[in-house]
Amino acid sequence: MTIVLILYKALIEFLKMLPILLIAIVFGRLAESYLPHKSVKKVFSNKHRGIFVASIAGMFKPGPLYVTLPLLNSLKKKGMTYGALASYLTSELVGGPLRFLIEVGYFGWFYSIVRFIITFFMAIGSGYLFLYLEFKGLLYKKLKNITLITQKTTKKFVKTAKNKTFSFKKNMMNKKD
Amino acid sequence: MKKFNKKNKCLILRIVRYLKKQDHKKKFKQAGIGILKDFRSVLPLFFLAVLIASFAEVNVPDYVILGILGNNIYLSIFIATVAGILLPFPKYASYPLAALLYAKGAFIGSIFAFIAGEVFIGNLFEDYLEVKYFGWRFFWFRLFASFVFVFLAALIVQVII
Repeated sequence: MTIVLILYKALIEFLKMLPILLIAIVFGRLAESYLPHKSVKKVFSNKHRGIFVASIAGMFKPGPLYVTLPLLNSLKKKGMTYGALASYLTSELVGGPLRFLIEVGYFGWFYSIVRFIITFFMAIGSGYLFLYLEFKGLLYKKLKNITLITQKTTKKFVKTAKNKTFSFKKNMMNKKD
Repeated sequence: MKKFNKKNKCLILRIVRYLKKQDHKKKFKQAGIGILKDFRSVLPLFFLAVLIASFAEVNVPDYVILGILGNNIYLSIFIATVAGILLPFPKYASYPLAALLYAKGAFIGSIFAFIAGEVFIGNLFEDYLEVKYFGWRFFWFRLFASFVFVFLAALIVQVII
């Protein structure tokens, strides 16, 4: 009896949520296929505007994250800050349009809107935290080491070059004499 | 006001121009493949999650959930966040269980923490890509920052709602 009850309850719940889920998936995929990648690149390279726009974009960007991660990687290489990256990831993971629609179905409009607003502020907060960490150099110690090594090697190179020119000049003077 | 209207008009015109340029057949085909993929991956898992939630609804008594997630707000938010992280639920599958917990008397703040915690380590493939592209350091910092932010946000949600 309990198994039948469980199955019945599960089926009713599933059918209740199915239309919302279907609309969310269809809307998400359609919006994703029409996203202009070039203009996205332009916006994200700015520091403060980047964080702000990334927080909003993450909330509205539908579709799975693994599709956007390669794009984010290319944006990062082209100058996107870690702050914008963190705020985008936070807002997309915790927020997202599909989540909003499903939450409306489960917990109602009020909860969904409050969560939406709080997620936006959360994303901005994490963005500025990462901007600070980036500013302090805590996110790329390896790079710092590389710069130190290159500085040392250039110093050595300059020293040896100076010594060589000095010895060359000395040889020339000796030859003249 | 005039400037604002002009800007908006320009933006709308740009969007219209952009949409006119697109190859709609190709885009719809691309979207259709994605939709089918999503249906195949999400729907069975979602049904499974609903089934688990219904099973819990019938078998787990209210006082157990009230004792864990309905007594101390700070502790319940912490437990809910950790449970959300540890439970191997795929995307969107935690909602039925969260709704059940809420119906049985859990705090709304801990429900928020449970749903938000689910996204920390949800998909191993996505996490792998994130580590590969941005490094371990970024990944751990983001996890830690998200944990703190989710805790604070859950408290705010509890106060507001």
